Amino acid sequence: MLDTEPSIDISRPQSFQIKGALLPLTLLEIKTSQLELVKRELTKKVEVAPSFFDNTPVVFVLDGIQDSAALDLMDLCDFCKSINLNPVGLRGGTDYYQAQARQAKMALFPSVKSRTRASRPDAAPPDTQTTNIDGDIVNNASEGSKKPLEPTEVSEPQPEQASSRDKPLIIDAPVRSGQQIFHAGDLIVMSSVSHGAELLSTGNIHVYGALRGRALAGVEGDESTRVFCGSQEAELVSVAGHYMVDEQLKKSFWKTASQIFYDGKELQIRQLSNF
Amino acid sequence: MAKIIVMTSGKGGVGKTTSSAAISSGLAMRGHKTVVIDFDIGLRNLDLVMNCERRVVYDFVNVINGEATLKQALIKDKRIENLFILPASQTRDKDALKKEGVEKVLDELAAEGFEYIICDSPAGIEHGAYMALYFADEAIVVANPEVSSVRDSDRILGILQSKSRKAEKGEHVEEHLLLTRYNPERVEKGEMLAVEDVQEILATKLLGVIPECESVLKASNQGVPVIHDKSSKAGLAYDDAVARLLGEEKEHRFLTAEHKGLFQRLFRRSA
Ligand SMILES: Nc1ncnc2c1ncn2[C@@H]1O[C@H](COP(=O)(O)OP(=O)(O)OP(=O)(O)O)[C@@H](O)[C@H]1O
Ligand SMILES: [Mg+2]
Repeated sequence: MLDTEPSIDISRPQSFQIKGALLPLTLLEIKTSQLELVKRELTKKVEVAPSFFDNTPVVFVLDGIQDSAALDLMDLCDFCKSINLNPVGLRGGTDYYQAQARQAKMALFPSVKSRTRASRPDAAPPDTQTTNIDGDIVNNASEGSKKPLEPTEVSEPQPEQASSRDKPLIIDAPVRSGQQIFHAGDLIVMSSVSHGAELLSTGNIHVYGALRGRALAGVEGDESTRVFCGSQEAELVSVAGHYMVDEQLKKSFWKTASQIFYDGKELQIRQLSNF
Repeated sequence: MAKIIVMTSGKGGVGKTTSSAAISSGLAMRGHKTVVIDFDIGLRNLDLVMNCERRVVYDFVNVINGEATLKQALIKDKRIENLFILPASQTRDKDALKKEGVEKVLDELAAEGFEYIICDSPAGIEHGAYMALYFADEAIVVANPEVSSVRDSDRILGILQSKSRKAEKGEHVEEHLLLTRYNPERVEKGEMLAVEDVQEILATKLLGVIPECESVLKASNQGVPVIHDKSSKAGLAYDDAVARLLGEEKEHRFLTAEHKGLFQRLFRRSA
């Protein structure tokens, strides 16, 4: 946008288009450096749910391993490929693991510092949390038979939802036209969101000022997420891909404090009332 | 320490240059050593508005390229002590402004003891506008009371708080909203946005409202920044804005239409 060369219009290439996308990935959290154990248990898992291992792209998380340089990532990679998993990246990891991942031409994803559950009031409390909400099938695989999954559940893996439980991101300044903010977790804007600005969240979106731009909650598919705003003047609102544009939005609770949620059939707008 | 203030807008023709001339003059009149830099490479409007175009020998780009010293390029204002102009180049290509070069000149100006460095930005959100705002400590966002201008200002504020040097360091660039060409009659008729509407959309501190005023055109034709004209509403409004910039509390004026009495209306019609 800025800093472009005057002679070539690289903002509008003819041969390709670059787009941001949020695609489901599966996390494979390895909790031990004993690779043989991992292999044995993963092999068992394949037997139970072969359809899940259909060239599924996986991202490794190795933060659970105590020893910082004990595991041979290449070996793990090769094994994953042999059971039809497709290792694509590493999230977090020590310098040692990151170097290995780089060598294997895998993508590096930033680590998620904290996973506070308190940030998602709609999520079940930790003790009653089911594997479904956890959404972390492979996590169970490495835990062996502690939390066995029904094969049917495994064959329909949920999108990666562990990241939806990141700390909420709180933005104190207005979100301006042309700005786009994505957060894997609840997104809270204390001020307004301008026309032409866009908020994307895997969790809920709260806007305490006026929402004049676009707000997309639950972008990884969580239909229980909602959009809340101090004044509903939005261009577009979406929950898990179910969306409404401003022609519809203008008809219901326009310029009113409201919430937008998905009722299982369609998006609903309700006025926020004072209890 | 020098304070770098960018005069920016996104949309063109809203009054950045007029405001740069007026506000830099106002600061200097109040005793602050001030320089105003024209970042509008290729157009060169500021030296016309400040009536020094015939004295331009070297320009901003010459200094960046080391073809002239800062002292050679700076033009001293004829009316006000403490005021200097660094003119834009008329011929060079727009990419002549490189970050390192701009920074070098700004540092040198600060070392010369300038208190305020006003950067008159070109329109748009391209390279020149980016260079003008990159080093800013504060920004005066100039907007007209109409939807497209306000939208562009919003965009510029976003760029300012995400792409400027301060933003890169995780700091906040102080924002001031300057609403220019404000016409209360047209606001009352609903043809223009009201101050409150603009403020609500931009959520930014209001530095001033400059009324649409014939004196502005007259002033720029004569090459005398309008702030010198104490009989003009625009001049007085700019003077108030400068006071607010320096921390004074001033009530906003010229916000409402003067409802002319019957006599005045009759008189006007027959005139
Ligand atoms: N308050 C005002 N009342 C009447 N006319 C005005 C006012 N402010 C600016 N103008 C006129 O608007 C025109 C554009 O002003 P100016 O050159 O300051 O805008 P600018 O934002 O610097 O434009 P550019 O984007 O081209 O650099 C000029 O003709 C100027 O005289
Ligand atoms: Mg100009």
